[in-house]
Amino acid sequence: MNRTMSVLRMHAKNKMMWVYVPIFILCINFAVNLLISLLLIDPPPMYTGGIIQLYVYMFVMGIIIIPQSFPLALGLSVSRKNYFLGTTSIIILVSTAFAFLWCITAQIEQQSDYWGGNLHFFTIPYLNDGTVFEQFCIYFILMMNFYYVGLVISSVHRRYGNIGLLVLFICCTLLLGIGGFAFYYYQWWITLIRWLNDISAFHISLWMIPFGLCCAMLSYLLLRKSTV
Amino acid sequence: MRTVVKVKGLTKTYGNVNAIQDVSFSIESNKIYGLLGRNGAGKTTLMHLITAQQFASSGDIQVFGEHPYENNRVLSQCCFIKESQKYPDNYRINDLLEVSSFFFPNWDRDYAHTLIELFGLPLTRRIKKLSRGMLSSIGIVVGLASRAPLTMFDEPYLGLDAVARSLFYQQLIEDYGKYPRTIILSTHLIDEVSQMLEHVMVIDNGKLIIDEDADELRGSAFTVVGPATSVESFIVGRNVIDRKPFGGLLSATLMTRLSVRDQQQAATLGLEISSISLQQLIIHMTNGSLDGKVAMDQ
Repeated sequence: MNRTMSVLRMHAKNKMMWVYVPIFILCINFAVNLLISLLLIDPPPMYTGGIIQLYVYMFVMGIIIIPQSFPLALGLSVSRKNYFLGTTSIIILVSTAFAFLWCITAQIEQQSDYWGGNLHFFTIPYLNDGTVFEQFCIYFILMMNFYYVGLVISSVHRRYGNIGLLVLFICCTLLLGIGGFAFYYYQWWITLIRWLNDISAFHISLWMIPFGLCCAMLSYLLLRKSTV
Repeated sequence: MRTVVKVKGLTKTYGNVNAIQDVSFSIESNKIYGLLGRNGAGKTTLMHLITAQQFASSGDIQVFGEHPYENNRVLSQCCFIKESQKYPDNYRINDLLEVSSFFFPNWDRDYAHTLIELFGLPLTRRIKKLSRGMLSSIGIVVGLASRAPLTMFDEPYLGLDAVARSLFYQQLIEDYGKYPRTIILSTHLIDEVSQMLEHVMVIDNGKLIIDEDADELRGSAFTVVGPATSVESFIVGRNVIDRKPFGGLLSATLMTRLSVRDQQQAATLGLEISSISLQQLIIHMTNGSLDGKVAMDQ
């Protein structure tokens, strides 16, 4: 059997982390929000955007995949390339499934007149503009990006240890600080906001593809040199 | 008989520490090798290098004639069971068995389950919750049931009681008899495994100091016991690696092959000759009182 598929199946053994926990978080979160919206008399529109929490979960999942499964994979004589491809496969699979699910729930939300209580849980204006296909792409690309940012962080840790991670965070902080200051000082933010105003969420998500690909490539290069 | 592993001038350094220093050897197919040495001698590092789980600083490694790094042809034939193996938090024993079957082409499911029963392992318990001994047992089950042409066990008995250890040795010998393969057993419980080993490699401070056929090695030293004066006259001019006086008696261990002439001389002097265990021999050779390599050369 193809060893990449075997890595995918190895990850799939951990359904708890990949499927059950995120769905459980979502259900609890949705139930609480729904209850509040139904209890309020004549409530204003509630834009909770609860599914954003799921993106955070996926980011965290990206971080913990490697320490959880990389040592076992190498211990079972899997090559780093197969490990990375197998991990990418499960990320694509899970992201596709959840993006599909969100599209359905978003439709239900709109059709049910926002759960009868004006609750905007799965749909947020701007993010859910556009066709269903565009919405699917937005969900999917966002999830992939969150997974891979997490994956890069833990790949740096696997390759360079705690010190590497510290250097990464210092660099990121400096870059964001200097970048933020430059945006403010040169008033680039005005241009940025105008640009963002002009394009749709779908377009922004397309712009995130190269970023996600860079993260994936970086993670692979780091893992290729990682040891257990 | 073909060469399974060929290592040339292998060196691995961590900062200033030389974990492996200029090691060269080759390992032949269908034999049981003992990789012996003290804690921190470099046994685990060496096996990590052979399976490309760590990278050598210099030197060359060939496993089944190819470099193992990112090489599925090589990796799919190797199984390396290490004492420090980490498992995902949610994994149960049966998950591990199923996943192992994905990666080892010769995996024998029935044999794995027989071993699980023999070692009394709870199939549905989370691996995280297992005791040290059970963790070792699960490694042994995977290692044996993988039937990988090159199987390596790194200190597989940690936390195992004597009964489970002898069960492991017995299963190893039985299954090796039915499905011959190359097995490398890294251990410091030398006496327990010495009967199984066909070839002995001893690592000390990152250097390979002994790489010998086990029978050759066993015959390369002996001990004489008797009255001190007689023993002294017997050992004159010989390579003595250990001497222990008690009362008027003296026990001396000699690093030399026992000849018929020696036996006659010892009989004349009224000395008793006994063989030395592999463990004693290796302790003598690695405790710093003697440079093992020089002794072997002599």
